[in-house]
Amino acid sequence: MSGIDLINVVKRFGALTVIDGVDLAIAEGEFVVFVGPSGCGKSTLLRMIAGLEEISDGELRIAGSRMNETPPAKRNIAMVFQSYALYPHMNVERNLGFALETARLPAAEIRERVTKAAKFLKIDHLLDRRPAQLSGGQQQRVAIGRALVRQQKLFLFDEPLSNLDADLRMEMRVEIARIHREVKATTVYVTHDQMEAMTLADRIVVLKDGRIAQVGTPMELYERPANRFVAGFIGSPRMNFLPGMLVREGEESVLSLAGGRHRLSAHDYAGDVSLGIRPEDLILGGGDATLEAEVLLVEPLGGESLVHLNVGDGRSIVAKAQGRPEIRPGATTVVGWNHTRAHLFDKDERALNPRGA
Amino acid sequence: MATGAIRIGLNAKRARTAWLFLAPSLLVLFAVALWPLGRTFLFSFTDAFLTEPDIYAYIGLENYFTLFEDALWWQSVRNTLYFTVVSVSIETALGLAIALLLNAHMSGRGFMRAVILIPWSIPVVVSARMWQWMLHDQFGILNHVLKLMGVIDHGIAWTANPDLVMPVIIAVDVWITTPFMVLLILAGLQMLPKSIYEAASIDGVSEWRQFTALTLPLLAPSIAVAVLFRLLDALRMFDLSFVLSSNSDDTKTVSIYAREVLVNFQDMGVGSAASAAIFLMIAVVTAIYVTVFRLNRKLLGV
Ligand SMILES: Nc1ncnc2c1ncn2[C@@H]1O[C@H](COP(=O)(O)OP(=O)(O)OP(=O)(O)O)[C@@H](O)[C@H]1O
Ligand SMILES: [Mg+2]
Repeated sequence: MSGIDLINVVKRFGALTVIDGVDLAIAEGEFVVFVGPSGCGKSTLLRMIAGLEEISDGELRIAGSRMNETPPAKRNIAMVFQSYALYPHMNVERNLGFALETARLPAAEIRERVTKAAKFLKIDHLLDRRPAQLSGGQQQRVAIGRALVRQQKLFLFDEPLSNLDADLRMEMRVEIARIHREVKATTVYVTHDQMEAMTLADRIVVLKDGRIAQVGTPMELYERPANRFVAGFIGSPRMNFLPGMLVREGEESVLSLAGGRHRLSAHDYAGDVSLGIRPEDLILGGGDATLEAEVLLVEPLGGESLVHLNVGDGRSIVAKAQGRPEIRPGATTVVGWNHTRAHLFDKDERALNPRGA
Repeated sequence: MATGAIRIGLNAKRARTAWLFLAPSLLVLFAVALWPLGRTFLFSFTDAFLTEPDIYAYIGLENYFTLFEDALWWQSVRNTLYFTVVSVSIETALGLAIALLLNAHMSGRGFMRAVILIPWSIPVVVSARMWQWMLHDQFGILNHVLKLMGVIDHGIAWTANPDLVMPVIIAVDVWITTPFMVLLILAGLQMLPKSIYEAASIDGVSEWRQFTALTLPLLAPSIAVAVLFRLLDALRMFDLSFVLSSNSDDTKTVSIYAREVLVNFQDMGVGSAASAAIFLMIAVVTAIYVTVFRLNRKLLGV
């Protein structure tokens, strides 16, 4: 019932186009995460769904009805703002209950919902404080609580966990996932954090310069990025890219890199390409294809290590290795990968697939 | 312990520097305000006359008895309080309304903001004279317009009619000082975070409730300061009444009363007593106002 449809939605601020034709269908109960670099339009798109920004062009539908002209209050949404937007003169308790008070719910019910949310968010000892007397993380939790108590069909979150420490962030992430499982509210969630996006999302929407770069499940985006931008954006540390040239030789294609030539199954495309390999897909000392490399730096992360390698031309790549490999900076080694784990992008940065794949 | 000691040292040093910077202005303040004030209090206990201010004797509270037995003094106190309460109330309500209007996003509001300041920028005596002419019973534009519109057939003596003169003075004061209110309240309005209104609008809070539950409480400190300024100003109002209706007992303010005793009757003793009483009256009103406001804030949790 409360799915969201964005149909060729455009947002202009004067001459500046900030959202440039976004098409997206969000199913009821789905958890969709918007990611993208700062300034790409995530908040703007979310605010358009909320009704806080006018839609310059295109159509927004919620539960199948056009919403472009509907005021925010009538869209049945709850939102957590990037800037918290708490009422500075009210204590936490009133901040949480204000919307319910306005909706004229019985006082007992308000108290029950507020108490429950406060306990759940671990702010029940702060109910008498005003926002100015709270830390950033506490304010953020109050903001989440204020959205929770309203029990709406549609949740909008704008970077709700950005000010929490790592522990609390993980805890809240789990809680948000749990809330979503229980309440089944359609959720749109903006974040910078890959981990949040990967763990929470049913589908991730990667935005770039006001357009959708790719939509898909977290694993789809990770395994089959549609373009070089998404490939670089999803995954941490980011994917390594090496320039190369793809030529046809009979029933095969040949990829020439600075460090050698590699036979691949046939591609329709020929010309300049970039080869993308994730750090975790690089294998020290083996693989279908290999390159000579000089070890620049080994960063131990505990269970695994990041090995920075120079592969000639001053190009450096990063490999992720299990444990703590027995290599020292300055040493020469061989680094390789399996063809099935490699990504190719054409000169327009679109992903290339072998013929028939 | 050690850091505590350092912090205290730092604060003490800061305080010393602050006093050093404040000293010149405190000195000037003492010379131009406290000294004359002290002299006024002193003279209020003497029988000095303006003709020979150096020859006087202390007569205790006698001047105050004289003052408090004068019906005209009490009438001017009533006039002043009436003028203050009515004009400041109207100015606050009107100022708030106009500020809200100007704060709404509408085209040409920068221009409006500049235009609205004009009445405030004109010296009060000039405004008063201007209004005196406009309100003139024979040549005034107001009567002329009313006659043209057929509302009246004889010119109304706006400033001579004892029933009309106070409302007229209040109206002119409202015209002059509402811009000041608008400006102070507008400044307060523009400090309010926009995002809380967005949150409220999503949460289904009506515009009226946004106004009463968010805007008013958050604006209260700004309004309180503006009202306090106006209160102090109105309590010692002199020029408007003096120009528009100098001899009428119906609009005599305490400041005019004090001047009259001092200048017209040359009675420095009673004049000083009146001035001292005015000072005390303003001090008491301010103290009550500030206390009530503080208590209110505590109750509201603002
Ligand atoms: N009111 C406005 N007027 C003009 N430009 C705006 C306005 N609001 C946002 N923009 C521009 O629109 C673009 C997108 O902004 P938006 O806030 O949606 O970015 P974002 O993806 O949420 O970034 P971040 O991750 O930093 O929060 C930015 O370039 C911003 O400068
Ligand atoms: Mg944002």
